[in-house]
Formats: sequence, C-alpha cells, structure tokens
Amino acid sequence: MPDMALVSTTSRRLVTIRMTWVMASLLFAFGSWLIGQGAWIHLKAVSAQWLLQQAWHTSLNTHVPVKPWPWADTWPVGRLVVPRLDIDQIILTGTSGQALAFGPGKVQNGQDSAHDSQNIILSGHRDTHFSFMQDIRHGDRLIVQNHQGKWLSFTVRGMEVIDSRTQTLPMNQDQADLRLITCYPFDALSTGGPLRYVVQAERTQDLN
Amino acid sequence: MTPPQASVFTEQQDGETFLFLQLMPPTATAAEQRIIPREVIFVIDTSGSMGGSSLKQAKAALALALTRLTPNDTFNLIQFNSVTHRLYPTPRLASGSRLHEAQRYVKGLKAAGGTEMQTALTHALSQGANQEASHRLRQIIFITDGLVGNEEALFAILQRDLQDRRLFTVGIGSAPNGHFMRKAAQFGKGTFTYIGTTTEVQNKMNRLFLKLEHPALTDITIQSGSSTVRNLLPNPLPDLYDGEPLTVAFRTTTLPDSITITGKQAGTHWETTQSLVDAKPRTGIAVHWARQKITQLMDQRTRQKDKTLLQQSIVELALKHHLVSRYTSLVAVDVTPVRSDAQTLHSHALKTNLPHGMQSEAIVGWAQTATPATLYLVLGSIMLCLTWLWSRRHLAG
Repeated sequence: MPDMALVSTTSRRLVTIRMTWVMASLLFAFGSWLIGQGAWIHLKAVSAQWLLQQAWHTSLNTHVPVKPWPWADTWPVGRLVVPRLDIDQIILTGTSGQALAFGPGKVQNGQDSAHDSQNIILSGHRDTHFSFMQDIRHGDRLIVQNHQGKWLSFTVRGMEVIDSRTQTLPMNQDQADLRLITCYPFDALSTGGPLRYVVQAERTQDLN
Repeated sequence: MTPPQASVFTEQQDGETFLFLQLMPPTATAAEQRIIPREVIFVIDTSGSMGGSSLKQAKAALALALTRLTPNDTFNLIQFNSVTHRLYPTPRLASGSRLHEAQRYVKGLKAAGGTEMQTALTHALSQGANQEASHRLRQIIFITDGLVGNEEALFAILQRDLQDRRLFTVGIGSAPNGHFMRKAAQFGKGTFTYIGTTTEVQNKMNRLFLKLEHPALTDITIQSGSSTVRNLLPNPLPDLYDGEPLTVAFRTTTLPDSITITGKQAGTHWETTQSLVDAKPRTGIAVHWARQKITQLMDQRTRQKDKTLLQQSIVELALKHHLVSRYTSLVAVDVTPVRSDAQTLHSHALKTNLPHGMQSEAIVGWAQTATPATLYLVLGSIMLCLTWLWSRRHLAG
C-alpha cells in the first residue's frame, strides 16, 4: 500500500501549511491591533490638544468654561509652558482617565481657583504629555496661564520619587507653588504602579 | 382601619421588673390614609467620596423623591461638599415648574471636594424656622455616604435644633458610615435607609416614601397611672412607621397594673391602655434592656467630660448581664498556638483597597498617570516579528 501512504503524507502537509497560515494571520492581526491601540493613545493625546487650544482661547475671551467637544466631561482651565523644553500644553480640569487621555489635569483641591495664591497640582501621563518631566532640571522655568488669563511663573526647586501608598498629596497648603506629578519609572511597561515622580516649583516673579 | 396593636412582656430579675413593649403599626388601605402636607428638605452629599456610582444612586433616589411631592407640599434642596449650596433661600411650594427646576438641578450635580456636613445640617435645621407654627410634617431627607470625622459635633447640633422635625438618612454606596447614619436617624426620630446598588433605589425609596407620607403614630409617650414613664429605651422614642414595629424597654421596681400609651395619629390624639396583670413572662428581656441601656450610656459618653463614672456603670451593667461593651470583652484562650513565641513576624505596608465604586483620585488625589500605550506597542511589535520569522521558516521550504 505505498500509494495510500504517499497521499496521506501530502494531505497532512497541506493541513499543516493551512494551520500555519491561520495561526500566522491571527498573530499578525492581533499584533497589528495592539500597535493600533498604542498608536491611538498617542494620536488622541496629540490631536486633542489642537481642539483644546480652540476651546481655551474661546474660554479666555468669554470668561466661561468651554467644552472642547460637546460630549466631553472635562474642559480647559489653563495652559502650561516650559520654554527650555519647547512644551506648550492645555491643562484640563480633573484627573480622571477621561481627562488625562487628552491633556494634563489639574487636581481639584476643593478651593475655588479665583485667587491665584493657592498651590497648583497637575497630573499627566508619563508616556504622553508629561514624558518631558524626565528632562526637567533644577532651575527650569515653568509658566502657567490661569483661567483669568494671568501668567504665573515658577522655578523648579526639586524633584522626588514618592510612594503613593504611604504618602498623601499635599493638597491644602496655602503656599503658592506648582507641582507636576506623573507615574514613575518613566520606561516601565506595566501601569498602575505605586510610584510617582513629583516636580516641585516655587512661584517667582510674574510675567505681564 | 385597625388601631396600633400593643403587646407587653416582662421578666423578673433580682427584685427588678423589666418590661418589653412592642407596638405594631396600624394596617390601613391607601384610601383610608389621610395625606398630611409636608415640608421636605432634601440634603445631598456631593463630596469627592460620592463620585462614580454613589452619586448616580443618590441622584436617582433624589429624582424619585421629587416625583412624590404633591402641590401642597413645600420643599428645598441643599447640596454640600466643601461648600454648601441651596436651591432656594426658603422652602417653596412644589409646583410643576419648581419641580422641573429641581430635577434639572439634580441632574447637574457633580461630586468633588471635601465633606463639610456641619453647615449643610445647620442650614437644613434652620429652614422654615420662622414660618407660622405649621401643621406640616417637617422632614429632612439626608442622602450621603456619611464619611465624616466630626460625628459628635453633628449629633449635638441635631439634638439642639431638631424641634418637631424628623431626619431620615439615606446611606449610599458600598461602604457608608452606618454608625453615623443610624445614630443621626435615631437622634432625628426618623429612619435609616441603605441603598447598596442602583437597582435597589426604586424599591428601597418606595418603602421610605410610605413612611414619609404616612407616619402611623407620632409623639409617643407612655403613662403609668398619672405620671409619664421617664426612663424609656431607646431615648428619644422614635415615631411608629408603616411596616416597622416599635419596641420599647424599661425597668421598674414596682410593677403598675396598667400603662397607657398615647400618641398622635394623623394629627389627632390616640391612646390605648394596656393591662400588665396578665403580661406574659419571657426570658432575655433583662439582657435586651441592658444592651439598650449601654447604648444610651455610650451616647452620653461622647458628650461628657468625666467619663469614669459612665465607664463604671457600663462595666457594672455589662458584667451583670454578660455583655460585650467598649470596656468588657468575652475572651477565648487558644490552647493550641501554631507559631512559637520566639519567631518574629514580617511586616510590610499594604495598598489601601477602597470600597467598591469609590474612585481613588477623588479621595487620595493620586491619579493614574500611565497609559498602556508603550506596552501595546512593544507587544504588538513582538508579535509582528514572530509572525514574520515563523512564516519564513514554515513557508519558505
């Protein structure tokens, strides 16, 4: 029965090739989808800032909060500029996931922001908007435009890594300083870690 | 309509008589129940800890409660977080347009900031104070998760300013402060309703509405002979509500032949006389009384500077009736220890897990500041490389 054996080997080989194709296509599709997801996060982060700039300018002119798109649950409340690193970003209210996907978020510390002598805390994603934080040095100038359009100038005085399990956010200090917060370490792959990188900047003379 | 039903049980112990009185609410059909106009103050907690599903439940409960108001009722809405905000300066008649306005206000509520309950409570307790001594049922419905630190101060305000109002607490979320809610409702002579999930809102609130709209018996007192019995537990005595029997315990040295229970039913006087001659003896009443007494003493304890005297009486009571209290415990001694005394224990910090539905950034402030973008890109690239290598090996030859 040599003929029979030959046929069965050929068909088995055909099946193997087909299986390989199916597996390879599945792997390819899933890999592409993952890359798409990753790219989408970056695309959202960059493109949203364009829409946010429009909303921010309108809200500065009209003195009322303006939503960047009708279904947004956050709105621009300021602008952050780091001259040395060429950073210019629109700040959103709140630090929910929905806000941070589009821009750095201002922590709502319960006080109304009518007076500009309170401390400002901004959170941002370490791999999109706030990835510049790893390049910040002592003495760098950070500038924030508040909701009244006033420009506040800050100078970086220190950076530290904080464990969010044991330390709380310094919310209600009456010192007028600025804190930038992002996840740490910058190149970690996993999310949800307990460490935070905090840059502390002190209020210096204002512009205008 | 059947009148409220009372039944009495007694227990003799060491020359003292303990009485246990149970009052069953009357059963009445909806047609028989008289609707009394009400003044309802809704207070809603919009602090950061209410964020997420808690606020959704609270809003649903509030929206539902607004639909139950009749045009003769007056109402007001107060929200509080770090600051307190009122919808109207004083309670207004619940006309269609006002209710519409209130529903819109409820829809727009957002959770942020701290829990400054004291101002809100003071506001609620001063609402309508200078109105004519009204015939209205004055009710405060307090919707919160009760995550406050100054409970004692709040209880003190409640006891001082309650007058003829009733406070109903509605606990929201997976972990409300049950102690605060129950005590506040007790001092406020109302009830505590707990809503755990959004699906429960309708059911639980409907039960609360029945109580709010038809209190069965209010201002209850118990008379023995010509004098009022003073040392009743719980103290103050709550109202009797539909579907909730009221139990009262008290201790006496000389057992009277009968007691008279009086109260107000839909604004009219009601009383019944209960003979104690044939009261059935039961065991466990003394213990029940002691437990209630300890609770009462513990409530007093927070208001008293010198606590040693109270502690003494609590310990005495607890030991006599074999009860666990703040100062007494039942101790079990383990005779089979597993770990030797010499062995040291490891210790390390654990992440604080928040109750279900609570958002950590609203409480602690540390936002989630990393995206899985890099992870996706790296994994995706690895998979594409694998696909390329694999297909080359298998399909080339």
